[in-house]
Order: sequence, then C-alpha cells, then structure tokens
Amino acid sequence: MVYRDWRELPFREIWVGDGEYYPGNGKANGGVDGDPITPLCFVAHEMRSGRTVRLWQDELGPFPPYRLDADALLVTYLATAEFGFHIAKGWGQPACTLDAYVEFRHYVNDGAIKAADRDKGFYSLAGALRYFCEPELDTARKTDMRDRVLQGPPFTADEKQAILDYCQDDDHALACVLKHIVPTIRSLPHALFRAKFQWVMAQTERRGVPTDLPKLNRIRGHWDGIQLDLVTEVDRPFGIYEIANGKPHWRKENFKAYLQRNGMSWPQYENGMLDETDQTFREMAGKYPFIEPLRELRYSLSKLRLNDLQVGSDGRNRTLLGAYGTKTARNAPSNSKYVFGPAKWLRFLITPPPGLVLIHRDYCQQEVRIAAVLSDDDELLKACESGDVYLGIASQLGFVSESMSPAELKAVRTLFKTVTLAIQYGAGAETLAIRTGISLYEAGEILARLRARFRVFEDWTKRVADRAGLDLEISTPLGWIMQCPPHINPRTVRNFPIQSTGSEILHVACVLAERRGIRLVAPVHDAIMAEAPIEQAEDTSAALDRVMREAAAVVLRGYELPTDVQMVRPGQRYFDERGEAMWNTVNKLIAKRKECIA
Amino acid sequence: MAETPIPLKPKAKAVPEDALDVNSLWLDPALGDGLVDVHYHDIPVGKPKNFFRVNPDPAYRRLSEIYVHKAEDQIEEQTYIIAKPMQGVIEEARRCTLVTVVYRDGSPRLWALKLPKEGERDNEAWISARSAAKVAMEKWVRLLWQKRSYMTRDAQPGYAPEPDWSKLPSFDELVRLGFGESGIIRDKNHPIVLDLFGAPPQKPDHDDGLS
Repeated sequence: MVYRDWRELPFREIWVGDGEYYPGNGKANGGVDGDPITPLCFVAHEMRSGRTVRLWQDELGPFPPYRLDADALLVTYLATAEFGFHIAKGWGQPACTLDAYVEFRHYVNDGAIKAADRDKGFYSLAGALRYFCEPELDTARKTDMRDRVLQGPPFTADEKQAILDYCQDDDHALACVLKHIVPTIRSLPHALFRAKFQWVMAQTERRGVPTDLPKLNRIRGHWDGIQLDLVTEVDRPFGIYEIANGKPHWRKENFKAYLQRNGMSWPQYENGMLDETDQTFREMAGKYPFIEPLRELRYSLSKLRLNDLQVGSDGRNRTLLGAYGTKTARNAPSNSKYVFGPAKWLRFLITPPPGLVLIHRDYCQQEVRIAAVLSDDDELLKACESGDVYLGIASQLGFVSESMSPAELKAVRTLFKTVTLAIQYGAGAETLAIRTGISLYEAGEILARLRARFRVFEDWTKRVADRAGLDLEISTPLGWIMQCPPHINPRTVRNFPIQSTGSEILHVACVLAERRGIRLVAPVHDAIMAEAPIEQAEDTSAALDRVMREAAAVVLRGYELPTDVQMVRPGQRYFDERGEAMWNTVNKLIAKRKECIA
Repeated sequence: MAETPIPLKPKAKAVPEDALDVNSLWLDPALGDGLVDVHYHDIPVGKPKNFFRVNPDPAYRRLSEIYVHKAEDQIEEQTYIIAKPMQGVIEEARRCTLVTVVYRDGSPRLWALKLPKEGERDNEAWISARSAAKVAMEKWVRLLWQKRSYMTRDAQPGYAPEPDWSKLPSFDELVRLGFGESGIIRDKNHPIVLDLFGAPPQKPDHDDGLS
C-alpha cells in the first residue's frame, strides 16, 4: 500500500528525531574517531501534534522522549546514528522506524547513474532537500556545529542553545523530506524492515572490530620511514617502481614491459593505455595471484591513509558501515576507515581481545549459487553441489580429466573462477580472453559451451533484461528496486538480481543473528564476523552457520547456502592470504628499523 | 569447503519462528517470467557444417522429395520440396528423408538425406550421410568428407549437453520456415516446374494493368 500523504501513515505518533554525540570524551579531551560515542543531546518533534522535546546531556533519561511501541513511528536520517544514540543510552529498539536516508537512496536508485557522477552530498539531508526543491540547509553552519560537537565538553550555555537549535532545524528539515519521501515508498513493511537492518548495523558499529592497536600504532609510527624500503622489497620481483628524489614513482612503461616479459594479458583502454585501476588489479589478481603483493603495495602507497583507519582507544575499529550504500543495497563502508577495506594486509591487525574469539563466516561461492537458484537451472545447481562450483562447471564443460595433476587442476579452477564471474556479468569472448590470458578462440569456445550447458540460466538472464526493459525497473524479493532507464548498461541489469539477492540474504542473516543474541562485529560483503566468549566459540559458530543458512532459505525459498568458517582465537590474527606477503614485509621492515634505531 | 552438504533441491522446511515476519515480506519479483518468446523466421536447409545432433523423434523427419535447382548464372543452389501431388513428376527430383538437425546453440536446420530412386543403385555418399545422421541421434558429431563418403568426428566431452528438443517448432512449421511458400512445389504452375519443362512464364494472377 502506498501512502500519498504522511498523515495517512498508520501511526498515532510520528516522531522525527536527531541526536548529537561525540567520540569518547570528545576530541578535545583525548577522544578519537573510532571510540564509542557519548550522547550529547536529542531533539525530537512529533509531527501530528507539533510537540518538540529538546534534551541536553543531563536530561537524557533511561527512556527516549517518545514511545517505542508499534503505535509510534520514529523517522531519522541515517538511522544508525540515532540508533547508536539509543544503544549508548540503553533506550532499546523502536518497534517501527523509517530511515529517510535509505528511502531516499532507494527512491533515486538509478542503475544508469554511477555513484561518482552524483554531486557531493547528494545523499545527505541537505541533498535530499535540494532534490525535492525545498529551502536548503545552511551546510556551513551544519559543519561548524558538527565539528564543535565532536570536540566534546565543556559547552557554554550559548553553544548548548545553538546545538539544540541546530538539531531542531535538522528535525524540521527531516519532516520536510518525509513529506516527499512517504509517497515514494511502495511498501511500508519493507521500509520498516530496512530500518530493522539499520538497527543491527548500529549494534555492529557500536561493538566494532577488535584490532591490535599497539601494532597499528607501531606501523603508523614507522609508515613514512619504511615506505621506500617497502617499495624496494615488494617491488623487487616486478621492477615497476622508480625511486626519484627519495620518493617511489609508479612507472607505466615498466609495468607494460613486465607484462610483456611474462606474457601476461591485461585490459586496456581504447587508446591502448593499460587499465591500472584498483578494481582491475583486484580482478587480475584472480588470474595472476603473484601480482597481489604489487596490488597491495600500489594501493597502500597511493590510497592508504593509516591515520584514517578509525580505531578507538579500546582497539576497536568503529566506522559507518554504509548500509544500502550501493545500487544493489550492499554495504559500502569507507575504504580508508574500515579495516576490511581494499588493503588486505591490514586485516592481519584483526585479533580478538582476551577471552573472546572471532568467528568469520563466509557464504561459499554465494553468487553463482544464487544464480543457479534464481534461474532454476538444474545443470548449474548440479555444478554447485559437486563440491567445488568452479571445478564442477569446468568438469561439466569437459575441461577436467582424471589424469590431471593437482597443479593443472588448480589452474583450471583459477580459470573457471574468472569464467564463472564472466557468466554473471555476461562478458564477451574478448573480455574473457584478456581477463584469463587464454586465446580468443578458447574463450569463445568456453562461452559457447557455457551457453549450451547452462541454457536455462542464459534464457533467464535474457528474460530478466526483457522485464527490466519493459518495466524500466527491476526488483528483489524483499522489495529493493533499481530503476532501469533505456540507456542502462545491460550488464548492470544482468548482475543486479544476483548481487542484490546476496545483499538481502546478508540483511536477513544479520537481523536473525541479532535476534538470536549473536554479537556481530562486521559485515564483509557476503560474510559476517561475530565475537563470542572462548567457551561458546563452537556453539556460536554453529549458530551463526544456522542463521546464515536459514537466512538464505528465507530469501531463496528453501534453498540454504553453505558457509565457510575462519575462527580467530586469542593470540591469533585474522588471516587473508592475499595480504600475507605485504603484512610479512611490513613487519620485517619495522623490526629491521627498530634494530637500527636500537 | 562447506561443513554439511546441501541438498540439490530445497526441501520444504518450516520457516524459523523468529524469521516469520521477514518471510512474510517476500515478494516474487517475477524476474524470470517470460515476456517474449523466440520465433524463427528462417531456417537453413542443407548439410550441417558444425557439430550437430539429429532429432530422433520420428515426428521430426519425413520421407519426401526434393529438387535442388542450380541456375547456370548463380552460385547459390536453391532447394525445393515437392508436395505429395507432385511427387514423381519431376525427373530431376530425388527421394529423401528430411531430418531435423540442431547445433549446440539450439538453432535448427533441415537436412535432406538422399535416397536412391526405385531400381537405382544406392551411392556411398548417401549411405554414409544416412549413417552419420543415425550416429548424430545419439551424440554430437561433425561431418567429414573422406574420398567418396562421409565420416563423423565425435565432439569432446563437455561440448554440449543433450539438446532441448522441446524448444523446436513443429516439423511442419520447420518445413514452412526452411523452404518458404515459394520453395514448396505444389503444382505444375510453380515457376521452377515451368522452367524445367520449358513452358513460358505465366502471367501473374493479379494483373494490375500497368504493364
């Protein structure tokens, strides 16, 4: 049911709310980004009665200024912030919340527009007001106020007044946005569920990912000093960097020569320039795992700002988890603030505090399994159930024989991992040939075999594109919609059902995990990390597996997805083989440097 | 590796109680519902040039007569099928079994397997073609011309799965698409028959009086 007016919403009370908080004791008092938040004030406005409640820190009681039952609706803009406030104050979860930020993102979720093409601040409250042609917020004042709040106490009486006024203005702005947002919501229950996921994300943000803070600080302390040695060490087998004026420089011509020397194919732009984006590096590292250290080095030198990694004084990495931050509703946390960012070697910093274990559960080959279930392709399902999806597909297409050595099998598996991705994106022979390093003929033959073998899936993807073309939108079982204007890239449409279904499975899994008392600390694409006391490690791991399987079964109508587990016990570190070489080198160089200093 | 194997097909399981509210939100996005269907507008007639399969269903083959016309000033051959009333009338026409062939992408074609006329000796090329077609009912093969007969080469394992014959139009439809209305010789007024028998071309039925 669509409500054309906010007044029609089935709630006795409709509260817009905005809270302010600072990290730890406030930045001016030693607090740092990444510390648990300290609530400062909350202003809530009830839209039907016009009543406004302004509460300063010392007035925040054990209950929120509004009711939490299903007769009241709480409306926020980016609910994880207000939920974080609730959690910090022990206020409990509102029965019904609407996150206007998520609903705005949903409303403008256009598959043909790249995130980078949106204006800066497009998704902010000010951006939403601008979008709906409402009077704009004073963003400079907002920034000033926000910065002041982050500094923490003491606050003068004037500052207190100004901050409360600023919160109240935000409430009014939010009420204004809500009037426009309500008629765009196709299904209120689905919108309320999205906010329920935000509650779980707020809990997860509050807990944070435990890291080895002393180690991080050591790396931070030596980072500038070891960069040259790091380049020399990691780049030695590649010979790409050149040191000039004491600084490392990436040389395109050296990289080109390296590829030629090693007979490696690499994607190029139309003008013949090599595609050196991190995304391409990541994809090509699938085919050539030995370039992973180079990718890590390159990313770490150019994009990594170690000080941006938000780790609180208790060693917990806390940052916005960016729920619903992509077209497919996957999370999009900040690359630099989140420990699960693109620099894989930093993940080695993740370690449980004494008495706890970390349980990282990952859906096994989730995307191809989702593709098989959604399309109902029995052949693809059979490949999925053969044990290893990639080898299963290779075997069905006649690329595996009994006489193959383990090394040959590994090569086939690597090839078909890329091939399987290619099926989902609908890559052509040329792209596949470049990405895998096989000949154009071989790539064409593999694709022809794939289309013949998995014709049910192929037909299904065509029907998906047809439907998106007719409806000009595409949606998921839990109602996440992407607009599909006529000029949309067909690959975006083709990939949407798989990615967004994966994302919905994760949403359901997180919600169920929270309901069952599992303490989540991080969502990681199609994986979840939880923490538990040592003595409950196995039980929690099994419970998390059950939750993830049942979540998949809800979204995929009975089909459970299997999961892999990595358990990190006290004294151990999270392991990711893609970052291992870089992690070891960094540690070696720091130890060497310490020796020199000593 | 997964710790417990997952069944191939989902079993109808009860939704956990704490997931009932989420389960009730499930909507069928109908992504895979067919909006369009594939229709063939033209089907090639001739021997298969790639790996192929022959439909083993007797409803997809028919004893018939065809005539291959090769005009002197044209490179392309034109194949005509002779309708029942005209069978035996054109000396140059050949008896054949028309079979349905598919490639691995599902595209169909018609292949005329020639048969000797009454009293005529069968020839090695025709015999081997018929034999190849029989083999192709069981597996993916490719035709190879060796000296005076056809041989078959088996496709490697994994080349393609069993064809989905259910996607094919009816045989009559295939014939109509393969030969076209003008490719079916129904009576002696067909232009090719007139040409073969040296008759003058007939006036069009609907003279518009302009010429």
